[in-house]
Amino acid sequence: MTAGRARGSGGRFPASLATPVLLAFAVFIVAPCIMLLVKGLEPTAETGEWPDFTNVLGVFDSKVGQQALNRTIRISLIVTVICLLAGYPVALFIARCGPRWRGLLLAVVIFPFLISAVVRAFGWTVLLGDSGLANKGLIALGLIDRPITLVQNEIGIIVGETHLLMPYMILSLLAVLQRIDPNLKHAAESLGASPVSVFWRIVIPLTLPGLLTGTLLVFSLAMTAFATPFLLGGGRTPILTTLLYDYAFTLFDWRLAASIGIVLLILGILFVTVHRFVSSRGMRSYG
Amino acid sequence: MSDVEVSGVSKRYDDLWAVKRVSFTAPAGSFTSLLGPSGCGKTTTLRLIAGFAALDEGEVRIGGKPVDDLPPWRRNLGVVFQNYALFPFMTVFDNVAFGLRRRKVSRSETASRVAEAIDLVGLPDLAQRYPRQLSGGQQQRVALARALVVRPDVLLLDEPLSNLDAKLRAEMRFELKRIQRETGVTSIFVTHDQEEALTLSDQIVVMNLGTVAGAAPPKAIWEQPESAYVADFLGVENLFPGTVGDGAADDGTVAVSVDDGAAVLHVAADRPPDGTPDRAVVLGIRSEEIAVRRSDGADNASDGPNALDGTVREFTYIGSAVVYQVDCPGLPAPLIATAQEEFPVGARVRLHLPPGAIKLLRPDAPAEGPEDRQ
Ligand SMILES: Nc1ncnc2c1ncn2[C@@H]1O[C@H](COP(=O)(O)OP(=O)(O)OP(=O)(O)O)[C@@H](O)[C@H]1O
Ligand SMILES: [Mg+2]
Repeated sequence: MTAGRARGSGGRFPASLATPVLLAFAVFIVAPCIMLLVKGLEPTAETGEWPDFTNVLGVFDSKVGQQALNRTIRISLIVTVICLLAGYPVALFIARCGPRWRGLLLAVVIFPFLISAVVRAFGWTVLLGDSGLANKGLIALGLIDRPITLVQNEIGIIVGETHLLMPYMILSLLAVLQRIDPNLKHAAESLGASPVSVFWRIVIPLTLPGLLTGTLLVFSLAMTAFATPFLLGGGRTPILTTLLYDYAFTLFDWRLAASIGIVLLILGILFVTVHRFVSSRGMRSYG
Repeated sequence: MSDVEVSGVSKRYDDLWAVKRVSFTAPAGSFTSLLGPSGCGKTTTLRLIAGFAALDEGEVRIGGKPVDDLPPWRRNLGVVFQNYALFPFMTVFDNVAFGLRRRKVSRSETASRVAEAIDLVGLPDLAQRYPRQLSGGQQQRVALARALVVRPDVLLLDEPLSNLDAKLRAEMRFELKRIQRETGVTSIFVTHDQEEALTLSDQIVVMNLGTVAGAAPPKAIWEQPESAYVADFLGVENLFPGTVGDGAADDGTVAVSVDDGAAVLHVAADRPPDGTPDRAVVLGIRSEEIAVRRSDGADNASDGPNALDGTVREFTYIGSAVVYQVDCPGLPAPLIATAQEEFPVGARVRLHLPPGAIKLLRPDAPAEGPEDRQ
């Protein structure tokens, strides 16, 4: 969605200014990818030929790998949807606030960035534990009789990641919400659109760019998150990143670890491709 | 068609009255202009009529019915914004059809009415384009079509021509006039351009610091502005405070002393304007009504009254004429006069101010100062 705009202004932008960063990107992104591919596709037997796809395909064969893959996709999707549904109203509210409140609320929104993953995870462990605030609250409300497990499982991961990634969604949405010309809403109103109609027909389409950026960010960050799922998921709910860690640092099987890395890479490329396709169709009219 | 009555409307923002006790009536089918300098409350007045902002005092009636309890989407108005406010993600067709779809007009009727509206505003076949693919003038026409297609009771236009270049602006002025005549829609038009207001309107409402300074048809407001402020805004270049003397002379003029009697001008009026305290008035004359010729130095009595000798201080050539600044003894500021003839800086000239061309104007009440807006 930003590609078109970047291309438009590229002509006046001196390429030399971008070279250092682009070079660094090449070295620090392309090189590890090549190393990853080399390692992951290394033949298992001495006689085998390069590339050998057995390890990568093996990720999908083994039960634990298959589960981790499914779990990773499932959790990432759930987190993205929650961030979208819960973040949109928050962004709308902040956009509508006066400048003083807006600053304060923004500070609250980006607060998760200011605490380390370990502290954040510890906080959630306390809150979501069997005798934590969450369970006590649910019991007090009469929704459950006995504490339920909210942490060291998928729920814990989802809660932790949602908390961590919500700011990305809110900030992406806020960026476009604040740029909406209020006259567009007035124009729609004067033409007979009720506030509900203005929201669905004017505000949502106008925030589509931010919505797409937000989902792209949240989904890819959810898929590649490590510390939060590692600390809140416990040992029994491996996702691709924690499985990769296990292979690399407990089994010291670098080939298997690299294979998972390749799977993650493929997933990422796949998602970005689908996302770009959807954006380019949805955003045709945005220029 | 409906008339619009704005009575005693006020709107306060934080620490100032954006609009204070504004009243005027736009008769059904008429074209009314709100004219005034930047920040005088024109847009705010329009927003109050449209219902985009809640008024603090007063009442707006459309077609005789108070609309203060009606939200904007129930007022059946058409609004054209200064920046057009076209929906960027919709085609021209969808932009124009927006209001009809909200009114649940059938698909076939929508298509024909959109085509009709696009035709009315003189837009070529661009229905499938997006707003960003249109020129400013075309966007302007789409905005007009979008507002008119719903057959609004009232059309509100906020400086719709100010984003266009001079040539296009002149062209769109005629277009607006034609469209308004063809549709007969009651129109309220905001502008800070006196020429636009004069050429388009049936009535001009001049605003100053959130209040109405005068309201009259263009001809009346041009020939006899209500007050010095209105005259100033309508391009009366020469304005001097003066005091009306006793009694009328035999020739039907009154003597008005300028600057405590340093100069005396004769004005063809039988009495000072209403509401002038202590006979304090403002004299006004347009530059083109002052005759300029070379001074021969002699005191020629046959020049009649109001012949003043002066020195050219500066001149500018404007194509159709030359505009002079002339220093005249006895006047507090140089006179602005236009002539065909060319005189160099420093030339001695004789100016003649015809008694019939001088207007006696009501000075502006000091209560209308900015501090009153707080
Ligand atoms: N939303 C607002 N909040 C605070 N002050 C406002 C707001 N809208 C307008 N004002 C103030 O009210 C006054 C009148 O504004 P308004 O926009 O009506 O002027 P205008 O006559 O349309 O001027 P312009 O020709 O520049 O468009 C201005 O002093 C402006 O600063
Ligand atoms: Mg304005």
